[in-house]
Amino acid sequence: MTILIFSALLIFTTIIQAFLPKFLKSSESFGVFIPDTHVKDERIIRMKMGYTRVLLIAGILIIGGYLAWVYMTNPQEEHTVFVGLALEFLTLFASMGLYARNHVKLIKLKKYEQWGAGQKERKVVDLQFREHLKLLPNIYFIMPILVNIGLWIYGLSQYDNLPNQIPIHWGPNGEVDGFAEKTWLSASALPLMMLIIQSMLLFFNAAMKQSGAKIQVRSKKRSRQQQLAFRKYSSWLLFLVLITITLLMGYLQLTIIHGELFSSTYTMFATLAFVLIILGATMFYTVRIGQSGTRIEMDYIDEPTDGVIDMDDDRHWKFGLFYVNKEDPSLMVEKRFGVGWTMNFGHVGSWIFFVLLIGSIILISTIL
Amino acid sequence: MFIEIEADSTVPIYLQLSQQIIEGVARGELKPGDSLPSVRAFAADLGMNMHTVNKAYHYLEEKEFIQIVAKKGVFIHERSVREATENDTDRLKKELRPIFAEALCLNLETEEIHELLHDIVRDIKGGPR
Repeated sequence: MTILIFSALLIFTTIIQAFLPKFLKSSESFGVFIPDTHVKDERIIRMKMGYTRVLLIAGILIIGGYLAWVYMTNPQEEHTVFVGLALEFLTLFASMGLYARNHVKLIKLKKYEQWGAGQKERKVVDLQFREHLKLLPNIYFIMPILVNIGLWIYGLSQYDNLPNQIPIHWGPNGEVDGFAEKTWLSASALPLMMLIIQSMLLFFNAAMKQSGAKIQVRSKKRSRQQQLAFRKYSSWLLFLVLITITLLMGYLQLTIIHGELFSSTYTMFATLAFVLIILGATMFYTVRIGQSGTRIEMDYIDEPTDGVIDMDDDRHWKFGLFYVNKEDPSLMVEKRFGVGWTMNFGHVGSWIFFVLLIGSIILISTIL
Repeated sequence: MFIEIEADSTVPIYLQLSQQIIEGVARGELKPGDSLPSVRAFAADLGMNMHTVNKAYHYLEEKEFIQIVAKKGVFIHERSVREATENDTDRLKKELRPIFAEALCLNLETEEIHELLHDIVRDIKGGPR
């Protein structure tokens, strides 16, 4: 089971990382803004292909080596877990390293050849963007929070019937393998942790509504439609995560209260179903929607425009990864290198968010 | 309706915003009662300071092109398209005067100024860009 989970995770990570450039906007490569005049530049295409090739080969070697090691030496469970995690990080580090190399190379090339010189930089705003934006209303995100709070209260009302050892950790086979002494706090740990995750998802949905739209000057209609779709699917993905995580945690909460009604097999299958649903949804989001909706086919045709390019905002992107813009009131922005969203680190709200998040995680781990 | 801003233009950004919204009204693309984005949303879309949008909105509000309703939003003013009063024509005259003076310095004939005027009006009414 462990080896299955870890090799699946490694395969997933390798594929997503290796093919990442395929799921991104062509106007941003390796975290660098590429003007429309250069999006079809041979050298950029070769860099992307090279990135995919190197990561695929490295990934195959890592996964092959991992499997061979496990089957030949038959290591202990915790060693399999440890090495699996280490290799997962190695894969991520390798892709980061390769990213950094290409990022620096591309920045130099762009500067040296003065891409975009002689073109007028323009920023496009659609006045009706938010009228067309169909995100799920925040109330959808509040309902599961209420369910969680209900289960929390229910758990505490059954306090006397709870076992003296409260389960706080489950192994991969669905068996409880970590306990805490029964106190009001440890009986609240699970709902509390879930409340943090739920609030985070609610916060993301709310912040997405205020996030600035990035409409491309040479393909206004197409990029607008893709952005609208991307945001809609992002909201749905958040909601799916919220629902599944509420079901899973709610189920675990019930097993704590009524341990006799459930078996570890159920728990294992519930967890597996959860992981598969999330992986499947993320895959769909990445492959079919793509960053900013670039993978969605659109039949909107924009009249060709010459002489104008989008505004170069490289200066707001540190290493092409971190968005820092004090002027921009957006809390969340679309990632440059990756499918999904990142925070505006120039916004004080982002820092408050991180302090609250890390603070509450530390709080929970100390009371347990 | 799309608005396009050039950051390194000599025209300040708040004026570019205002002028394009006014053109949208003139063209009929923005109708009285249509809503405009909130200051925060507009600034986020621009990736610029909220102050810039605020300035544009106040400029437009003063000219009665938009109406800012507290807690409700920003709307194209019911009186944005209206019969010009004597005051309005006086103001336009005053604002146009230096431009025509410049045209005269450039030795443009009255006919040519007329033609210029026609071109501009046709271009504005020409429909969405």
